[in-house]
Amino acid sequence: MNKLLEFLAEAIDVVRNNPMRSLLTTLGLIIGVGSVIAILAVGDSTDRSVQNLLSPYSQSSAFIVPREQQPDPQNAAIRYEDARKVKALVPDAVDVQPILAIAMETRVRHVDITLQVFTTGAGAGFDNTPLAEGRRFSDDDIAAHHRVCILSDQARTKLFGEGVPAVGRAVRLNGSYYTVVGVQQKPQTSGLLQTNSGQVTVYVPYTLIPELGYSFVFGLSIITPGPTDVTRLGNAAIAALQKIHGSRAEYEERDIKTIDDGINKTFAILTGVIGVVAGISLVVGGVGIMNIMLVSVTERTREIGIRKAIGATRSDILGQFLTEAVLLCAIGGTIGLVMGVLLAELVIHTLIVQLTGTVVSFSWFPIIAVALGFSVGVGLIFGTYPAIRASYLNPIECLRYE
Amino acid sequence: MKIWEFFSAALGTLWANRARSVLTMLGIIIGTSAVISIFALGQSAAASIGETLGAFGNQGIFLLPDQSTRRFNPVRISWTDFLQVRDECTRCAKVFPVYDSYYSIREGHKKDIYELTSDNDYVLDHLTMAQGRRFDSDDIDSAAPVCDIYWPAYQKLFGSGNALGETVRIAGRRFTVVGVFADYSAGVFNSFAGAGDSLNIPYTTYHRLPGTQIEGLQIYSAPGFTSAQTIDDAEAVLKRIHGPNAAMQSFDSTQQGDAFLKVIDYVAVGISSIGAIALVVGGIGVMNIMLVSVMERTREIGIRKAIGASRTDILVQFLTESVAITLIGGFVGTLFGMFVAALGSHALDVSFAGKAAAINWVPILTVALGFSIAVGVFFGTYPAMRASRLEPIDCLRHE
Repeated sequence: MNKLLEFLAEAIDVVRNNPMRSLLTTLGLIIGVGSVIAILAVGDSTDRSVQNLLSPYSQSSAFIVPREQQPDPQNAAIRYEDARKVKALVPDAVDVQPILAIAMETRVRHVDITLQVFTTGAGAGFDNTPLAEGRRFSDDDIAAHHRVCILSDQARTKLFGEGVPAVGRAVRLNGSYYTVVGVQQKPQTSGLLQTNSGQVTVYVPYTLIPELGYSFVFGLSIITPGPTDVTRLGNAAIAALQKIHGSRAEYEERDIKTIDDGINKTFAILTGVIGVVAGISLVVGGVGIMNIMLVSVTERTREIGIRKAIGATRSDILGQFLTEAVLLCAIGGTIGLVMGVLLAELVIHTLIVQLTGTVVSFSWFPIIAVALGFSVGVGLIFGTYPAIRASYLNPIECLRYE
Repeated sequence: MKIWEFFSAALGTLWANRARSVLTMLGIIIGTSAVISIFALGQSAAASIGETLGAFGNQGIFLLPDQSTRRFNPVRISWTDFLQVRDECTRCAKVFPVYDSYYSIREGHKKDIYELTSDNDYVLDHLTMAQGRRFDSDDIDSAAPVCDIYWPAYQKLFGSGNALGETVRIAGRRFTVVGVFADYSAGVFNSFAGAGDSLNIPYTTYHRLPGTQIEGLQIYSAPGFTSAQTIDDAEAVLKRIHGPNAAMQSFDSTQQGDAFLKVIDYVAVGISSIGAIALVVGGIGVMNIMLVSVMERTREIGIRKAIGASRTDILVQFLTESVAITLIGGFVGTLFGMFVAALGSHALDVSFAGKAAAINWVPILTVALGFSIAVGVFFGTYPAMRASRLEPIDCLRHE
């Protein structure tokens, strides 16, 4: 331990005696570490903010819709009562709900307003945007065909005015009045990647689809016990539909989990590739350190000879030069770290925030650990050869060296 | 020639310090090869995708009823609408109706469902035929009962046998096979290529099948008009027929391909510039070593100056040395980068776009060599200036 401190003190002296050289040597590492950190951090942050935009939507439901291009679209169209039949054929599913997504008009203060009407079941369904007031649908609402609805924040604003309490009031759809039981919170802003959440949306219980005058539906929503069952139960539901409509009817499965996984994978690959490319500069910086350490060994050949002559062991010399290399790397790594963090924050708060609307906090710890670990690693790898070379020098030849 | 003298002197110095020179060059080599290989790979990917898209040629503009506004009944384009657009749209060079639907098709005793699309005699794509021919104007004018088959459908219907002159039954009518398209392996773009289980018949023949519905119009702009102008003109004709609320949507096939290639270009340039960071780091290494070199050779500089070397001589001497390092490093790096790119582009393209495209090396090489000289000059100037400003007397005293 004492020896280590001695090595360190000496290395600091050497670094201070050659400020220009030390600066240039560490600069390579500063740039390398800084760019790797900035790229990893920006990639991670963007991934998280994009995922955050999808967070109100349940990953435990699969949508089954008829394929757009198919031999006999009429035959493949899904009927309202298919939901019940599919539920019977897919007992693992928590629920199978028919989905209707239509535009309907309502009149408010003598003005026609177009509403997006979606159907949903009891409790938290696919869209889990928190409610600002009121409640979600109860099992009773669904079973007893209650004429109730939940409004999006945008719909509340359009129908009743911004922030006006709407629970208990009524919306007229297709000639009947629907009582508002809940209002969703304002959706988070999502910058350039605007999602559906800003729409003028009204949710009604799916059991009211026949009363709205529809016998065919847009698709089925399969509610699954967990995100991992989505693909399996989705495919089971497709098989069930093909039992009902014949094997020529083609369907496709869509779910948020697949989209989410896809986004994750894309970001991981992109960040990985760019990170590795940036990591190349770290290697180049390491080569620079090795080069300068070799110069340093040559310049101090006489010093090494004298040390050895008065009793320094091989490991003393090795430790001395290795400490110097690692010190240079640690300094470069630390400065690079600070620069990288600053750069990442700058990019995230100016560019990424415009794209996604929100900045989602992410953990710096693994990124920083990786970067610092890397820079010390570079010091050890590229410092070892010069240090070994120094330790193997013959003291007699060293003293003769001019 | 004085420059050559400087250059050979520089090479001598570099040779005397081999290990150091190699390490210094290594930074430049790694940096250059990273930039070169990434840039070339991006170019190659873009080129092969362009080639794949190019095989489908200029598909013109597709104009079709907008299905997303379900509030209004979507417009249905009838045969007379097509004739009216063809006759009244002055900015349209060619207008064809597009049919695309599924039919049960019989050949011998085999019966299956295939996609049936319409085609015309105005051929701008570069698809090749394995057997037979495309439709000619006679086929179109006479609404001939003929069909062309895409490769997957051909294999299903005829295995590997002869198809020409054979008869297939579509919607109860007999069609004679006149051509088979060659298999086009387009990697991940296969589905894009639409080379599925499909058959083509002339659009005039398609029109006579019972219960057909035009999906949209395929339009080629007349010379001198942009796609947007042509779309406006054709839409105006349809709105005269169906009223101002008729919502249409249009796809410009050429623009979509261009946009895609542009994105790939941006990504390649973006990643290359991150690779260029390594080149900068390598340049800093050159500067550092040149400073060491100046210091080590202080006495030499002093002696040279004392026997009459001018400031410029010293400056040029050290500058030549750093440029020699980056030039050699750049050269080796370029070779290495080309090697990596050639390997990578082969592997990448085969899985990505179906075939490897040639890389245009000339601009890449010019940029790489220009860049390595620039790095040498940029990072060599400060050490060389420092060397040239040294006082000869101080130098000689230096130990």
